[in-house]
Amino acid sequence: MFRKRKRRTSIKPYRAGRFAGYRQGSPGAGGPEAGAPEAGGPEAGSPETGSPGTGSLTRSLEDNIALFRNIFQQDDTLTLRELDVPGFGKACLVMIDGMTDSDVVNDNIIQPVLMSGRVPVREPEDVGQPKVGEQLKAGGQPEVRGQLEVGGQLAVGGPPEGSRLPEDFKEGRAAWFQKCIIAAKAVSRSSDVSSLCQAVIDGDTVWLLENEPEGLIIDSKGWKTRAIDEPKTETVVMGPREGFNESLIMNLTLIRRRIKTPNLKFEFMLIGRRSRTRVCICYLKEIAKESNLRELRNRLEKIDIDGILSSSYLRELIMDSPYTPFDLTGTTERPDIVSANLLEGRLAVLVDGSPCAMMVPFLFVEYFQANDDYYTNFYFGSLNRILRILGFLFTISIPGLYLSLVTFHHEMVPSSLLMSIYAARQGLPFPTVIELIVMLLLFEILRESGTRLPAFMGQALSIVGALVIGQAAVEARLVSAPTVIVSATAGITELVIPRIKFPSIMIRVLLLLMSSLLGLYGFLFGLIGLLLHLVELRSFGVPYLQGIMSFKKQDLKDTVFRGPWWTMRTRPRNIAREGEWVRQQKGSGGTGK
Amino acid sequence: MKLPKICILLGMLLLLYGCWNYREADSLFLVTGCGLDYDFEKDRYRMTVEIAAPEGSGKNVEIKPKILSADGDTVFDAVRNIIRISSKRLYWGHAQAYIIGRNLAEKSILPLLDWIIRDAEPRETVVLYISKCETAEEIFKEKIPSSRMLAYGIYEMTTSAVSVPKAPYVQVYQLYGMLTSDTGVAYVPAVDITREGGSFTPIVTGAALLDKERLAGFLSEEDTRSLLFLRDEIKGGILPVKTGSGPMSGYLSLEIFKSSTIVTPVFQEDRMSFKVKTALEVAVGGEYEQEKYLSADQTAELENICSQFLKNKLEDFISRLKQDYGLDAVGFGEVLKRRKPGLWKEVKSNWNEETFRDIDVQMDVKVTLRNTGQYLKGL
Repeated sequence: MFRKRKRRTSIKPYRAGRFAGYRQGSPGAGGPEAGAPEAGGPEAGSPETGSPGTGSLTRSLEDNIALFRNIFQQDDTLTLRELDVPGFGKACLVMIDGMTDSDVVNDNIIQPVLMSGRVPVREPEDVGQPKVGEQLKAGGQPEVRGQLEVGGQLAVGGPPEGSRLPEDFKEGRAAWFQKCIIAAKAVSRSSDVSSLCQAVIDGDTVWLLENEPEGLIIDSKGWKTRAIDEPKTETVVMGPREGFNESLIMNLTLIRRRIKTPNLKFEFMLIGRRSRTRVCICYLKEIAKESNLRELRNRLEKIDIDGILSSSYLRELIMDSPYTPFDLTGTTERPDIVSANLLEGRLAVLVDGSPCAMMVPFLFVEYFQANDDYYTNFYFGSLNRILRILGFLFTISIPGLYLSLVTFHHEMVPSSLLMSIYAARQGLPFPTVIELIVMLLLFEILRESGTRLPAFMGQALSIVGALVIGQAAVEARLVSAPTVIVSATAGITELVIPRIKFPSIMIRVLLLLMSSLLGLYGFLFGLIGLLLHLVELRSFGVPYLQGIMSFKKQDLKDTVFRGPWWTMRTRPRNIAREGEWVRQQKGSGGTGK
Repeated sequence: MKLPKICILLGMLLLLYGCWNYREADSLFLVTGCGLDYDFEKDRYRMTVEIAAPEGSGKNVEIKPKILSADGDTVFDAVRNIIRISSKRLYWGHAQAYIIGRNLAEKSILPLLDWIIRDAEPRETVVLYISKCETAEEIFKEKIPSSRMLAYGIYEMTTSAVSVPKAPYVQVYQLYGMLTSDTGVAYVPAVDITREGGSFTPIVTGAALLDKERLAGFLSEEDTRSLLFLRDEIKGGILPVKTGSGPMSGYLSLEIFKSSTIVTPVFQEDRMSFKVKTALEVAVGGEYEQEKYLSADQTAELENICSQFLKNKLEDFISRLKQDYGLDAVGFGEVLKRRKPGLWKEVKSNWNEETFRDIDVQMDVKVTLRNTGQYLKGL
């Protein structure tokens, strides 16, 4: 378990206007809102923005508590802890159960606050009495210290020697608590009801004080998250095994730990009128292309949706060509992949609550690249890459090619193969094209049901799938054995690259239909159409087929083959900032080449 | 909205196609080979085809050869008439062997050759054979106790002839090229039936010599090898050489590694002759007398014997070709046409009949032994 911490200061002001309720005074700003202590009516949040309330706090603690009770009506997770601080009067802690870390609330808020009361403090109006510090020197101190040591707490509890006294704070007593008493990492003051409410929802503790128009927002977020483990969908043979989880800040630290430069930037923004999801744009300032960054910010800001639950929501909302079946943004659950992308000048977008990071720009060739390629020997990496490309080519083309060959171009099939196909097809009821479509459909149904099936049902599925459909259908002379082999091969090769699954299925079916109309001509027309579509695609302005369609030596080093690191001197073209394409200077590496 | 409209229009396109060439494999019969004869009594062509026919049902379908015959006024007519018997269309794309009966070949091979080249389905890489039996039908009609396709068997015998140079491997497009050349002399493999173990088996043996479109005669296996030597088409194989005398000893087999023959015309004064230079690289393949050819001298002696042997064979073959047939199967005319096109125009009209019969041929055969005499001791 670890705490979730929020960096409020990193929120750029230009985005604050969009989320009116989110803006709040920074800790040192001095609370300008305090000047207008207008009692905000206990209004419900506006449905348009989803902000929880409006207006400001009043001086009356009862009214303020009632205000929160009203806003959080029928929400029983709201916890109100009323305290009576000696010398200060009543106070109240507002928090949501489960979102806060009890240790922080108990040890770092409640205990110091209660301890502070042991120090005799004058009322703010009668200035001139002996100062607390003097009294402490006179004898109050040993007592207090003793108690503190019993409690096992060091450096908490009443103000240490020589510290400033409540009346030194012209901003009010809240400021004294903020700066001298509360032992939390981030404490800010606000009188704005909506920002206080948002803080409560975010897991912070709001501290209201009698006769004070300002509340303290104390960082006390803490909830259980999933442990950092290897993503199930992206396992690796050699290489780091860390994967993202659902906590945005944790994910950002995983990236930060890999790229230790102040140039690594994390820009936050809020997307989702109701979900108010934090979204973070990561990039390396010196490498990332400024225009891409602007474009990404622009596209994200244009999103007007009520909830974002995964980065995939964003992907569809910001794609260059919204109708294409191909991904125009990369997706990964691995911090090492994100880091590698950042180092190539790409931008990453992480979404709170989703372990999937999104990277732009994304090129077609990246479907075939795996992080394992870079962690293993480059020959082996290249071999695997070629296998993946072959897998893709096979899965889209095998059914269409088979159909064209056996129904249109008998002369292209070797005689002995044609004879065995001929024997297998004797007395079958359906034409080959129907057989193929049905078998491919069955495979996709098996795959889809296997994906979300609980493990204990998997066996039943595989038995039915393999025995009933595979064997029995052939034995019952419903489909021919070659068709089963062809559709199974297409299905298996589809799984070589899980990410390109959907485009593969779609292209395969299209090529199959084209082949059934015109044989190999139709197949080729389909392929030409596919190529035209791919050539047309752009991801953030970068040609989608870059690296495959170009014949520049440096570009080809990380495409079909994974060149050794000492040859990959430049980053992929058009992705990083102009003039920042050199990854390593000549002569780097042990070979000195 | 444009997109749905476009999709509907594209979808309508799907209804327009007529599957113009969509044919399931099982709607056809695969022809593996055919034989063509002419029935001189009925005055009709007789086509015999071997098809791959399924036998059995359910899971135990076996493909077995099946022979069908039909008559027709033309070759194509006969081909189509077979459909009436077979009930399915014949598919010729996988036929490999086309056999012409001797009776018909003595008149002309053109009816079949023309159909192979004109029709879309038969390939031009198939092999045309001439049957030594009177009709081609005999070759197919012999009962063969195997499930192998007879025509494929014949074809494979020809292609594997690379290591047994006893029959030429001539594909139809090559045959067509030879027939349309100025000399019009061609040769194709000959096929015969041999009795083996009580059953008749077809065998590819020697070559059939064609004068224009007519069969001129059959060459024996030995002559065929000589012909292939002279045409520089030997790619390997065994050359048995007689080195001594006696019933058991005396034959030495040479394994051919490399063979090259260059024919050049030589003009001396008024006389035209041809120089044939054959260089052979061989290894002793066995069956020689022990410890006889170990030293360098012995090897040179053996090389001489072999060269002389082959030279005699080739010279003998050329002289018989000149006298018996008067057909320039070796292609001296082609060489002359390439070297002296002007001269060729003068002599080509009666090349086979006169000029070829008169020309001198100087043979120069050089056999080089490899890998012999490397061990100090023989067996």
